[in-house]
Amino acid sequence: MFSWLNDLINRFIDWVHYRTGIKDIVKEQITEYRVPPKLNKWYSLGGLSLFIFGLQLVTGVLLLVYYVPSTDSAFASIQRIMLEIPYGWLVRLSHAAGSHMMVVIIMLHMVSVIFMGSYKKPREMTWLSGCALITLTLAVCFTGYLLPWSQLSYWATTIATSIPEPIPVIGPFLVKLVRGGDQINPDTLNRFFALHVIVIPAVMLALVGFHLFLVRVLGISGSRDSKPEDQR
Amino acid sequence: MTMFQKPKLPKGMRFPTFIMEDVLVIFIFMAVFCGVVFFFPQLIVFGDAEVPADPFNTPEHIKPEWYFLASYQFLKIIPSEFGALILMSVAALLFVFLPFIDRSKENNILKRPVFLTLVLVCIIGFVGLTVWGYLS
Repeated sequence: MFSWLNDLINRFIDWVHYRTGIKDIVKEQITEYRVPPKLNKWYSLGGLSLFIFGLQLVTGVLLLVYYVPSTDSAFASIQRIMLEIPYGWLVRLSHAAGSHMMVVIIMLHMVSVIFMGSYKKPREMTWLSGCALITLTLAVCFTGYLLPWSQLSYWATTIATSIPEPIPVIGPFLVKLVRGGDQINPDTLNRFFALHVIVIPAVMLALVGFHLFLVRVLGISGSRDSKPEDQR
Repeated sequence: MTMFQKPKLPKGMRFPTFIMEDVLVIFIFMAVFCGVVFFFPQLIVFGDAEVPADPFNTPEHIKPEWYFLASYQFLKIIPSEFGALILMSVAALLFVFLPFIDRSKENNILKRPVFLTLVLVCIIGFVGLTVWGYLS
């Protein structure tokens, strides 16, 4: 009865395949891809951090709809999201809880990589991109912290941005560069907003792609069961 | 030099299985996550986070987030702030270049007591500094 639909779908897939070779990619990467049996649960932490990153992107975009990046209305807009907007509380709390969870899961992912020796040759570049990703995760948490413009965000950011001050010669300049002035001011909020919503997430997306590309190219690192001759 | 050859794996987990392994972990995570968001929201947003910013009123006991507490406490206990910054930068660099420093072929950490001790000292140091920073 629906064979015409089947036909149509097959013709569409063939059309795409002729132009991209999609069938071979699916075969190689999904249907005929094999993963070593008996992997422990630690191996799933990378996929889990990717999932949380996706969750943060979705909740972040939803928050962006109602958040106002100005010192006068930032806190009020967060109050509105929490109290007035339907399910705003859910989105906001998920975004805040997700940031903590992401740091926890990424740290566990890193500890498991160290314990299993997965950073070793030939996976140095995977490790380096992972280090960049964890730094950017902390940076995105740090910049997002100021955005609600609460007492906590204001003073925690004041303390944290004063850390480079003791560096000789360039220290005070660095502090001024991060803050966009001598104190935390409306410009600080705006530059942190720009970093938090577009610059850092965009770089992170690219790096996640590179990280995953390397994982696929090199295969999953040897679990304790795999023999040494598998890894030349 | 030829490229690294990915080991051939004729046997192993097939397509939906290896995805489902990750999905299982994601579901366990979501259970914990929803538990926190629905039943313990006061763990996420509390205290000074519920007061609008006031540049003329410094609250007492202001602390950074837990993941910055260790480095914050480290800066506090080292007398020279610049020295502490240099020590932290060196530690971060050593950490980033770990694959180039640790070139041993042995993957099993249990057969490398010195490295295992170093890793455990680092983890205990991080957790200890975090707890110290939280309590002080």
